[in-house]
Amino acid sequence: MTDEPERLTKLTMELRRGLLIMAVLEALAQPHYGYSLRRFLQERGLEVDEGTLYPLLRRLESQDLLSSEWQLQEGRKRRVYRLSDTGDSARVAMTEEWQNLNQALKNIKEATQ
Amino acid sequence: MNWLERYTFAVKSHLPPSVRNDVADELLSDLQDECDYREESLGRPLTDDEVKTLLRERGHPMLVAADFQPRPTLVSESLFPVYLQLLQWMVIAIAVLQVCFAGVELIGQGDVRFWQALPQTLWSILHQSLYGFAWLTLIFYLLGESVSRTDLFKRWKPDSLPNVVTQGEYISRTGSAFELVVTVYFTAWLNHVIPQSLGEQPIALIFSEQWATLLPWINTVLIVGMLISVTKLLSPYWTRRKILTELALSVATLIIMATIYRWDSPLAIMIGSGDSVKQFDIPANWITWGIAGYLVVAVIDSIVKIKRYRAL
Repeated sequence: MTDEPERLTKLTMELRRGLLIMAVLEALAQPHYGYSLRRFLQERGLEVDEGTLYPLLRRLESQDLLSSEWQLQEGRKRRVYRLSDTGDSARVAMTEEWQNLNQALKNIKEATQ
Repeated sequence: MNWLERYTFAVKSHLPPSVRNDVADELLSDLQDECDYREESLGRPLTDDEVKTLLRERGHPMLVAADFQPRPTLVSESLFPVYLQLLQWMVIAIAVLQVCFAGVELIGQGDVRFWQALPQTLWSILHQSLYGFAWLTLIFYLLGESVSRTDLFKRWKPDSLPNVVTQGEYISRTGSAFELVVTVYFTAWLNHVIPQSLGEQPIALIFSEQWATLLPWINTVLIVGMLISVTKLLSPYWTRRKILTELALSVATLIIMATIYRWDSPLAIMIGSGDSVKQFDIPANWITWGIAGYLVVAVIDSIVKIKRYRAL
């Protein structure tokens, strides 16, 4: 049987999964390499571990939502990600959906309180 | 070679060739940036132990590599219900076929006894089902995500939906399978397909000559019974048609039993073989009690079925 903290962790992860995609698409309105993106999100209150972020970036790239290129910065090879046109459309659509969901959740809460 | 390179090299060995260098380069760059950040915070270079702590935080190279790899499943999540349904049908079909094959095989091997044939047949069912399971799983693995559930059920129409049955009115598939196997074996036994004996000492039932006239009718009832069992296995819920057919079958069985009841000494038991053979007539009251027992069970079962019929 799943104990309470473990169940809560799973639920939180499920909730974060979709939200993280949205956060990454929003953040990549400016180009970022992996580490700088992670720090950017962290400084704004969203902790993401590397094991989640890098595979996610690759997945989004394979879906043509992002594009990337290797660049030499400060004497170091870095893979820089940027939002593609498809990614930008997805970002707009997801933001709209997020706002609708948020409103719906607010309505539900109000109705049940 | 420093710790970061050793770590990246270890991760690389667990990655597929197509992404190996790309992921390793990005990982190394990320680790170097993280070290720079920590060194900047501390105002000094990281010690070996601090670098090793960082690597421990990142996790075992195999796990890090696993995050970059697709997680293939033998059966895709969306097709799993279809897979499960096909698996059930396949096992049922194998069981039915194996029982039929066993019956046919026994015709040519008259000395094989029921209790020898039964475990062999059960083993064949298990054996063939395992093969079938492996093949079906392989097919679904190869299909992967190329076939979607929507494609498979594109031609589905709501007209094919079954009537709603109240909860608890589903038919147990185990019960139906047992019923089918017993009916098949009884039919085979009654028609001398398998020997009417038990154990080392042959024990056989001797049927009076009158049985020959009734045998086609008994066989008809048994075959209809088998067909009903197969239908119940394929669609395990009660319908009015199924109930009516089963009730009709019970009536037919009772008529057959009433006919047998009127005969004088319809059955005898023969024990042994050769010179030591002994034959005993089954007393009439045994037959009466047997028929009465069946009658009670049939009446109770019919009452339950009639109630079920009215509830539909």
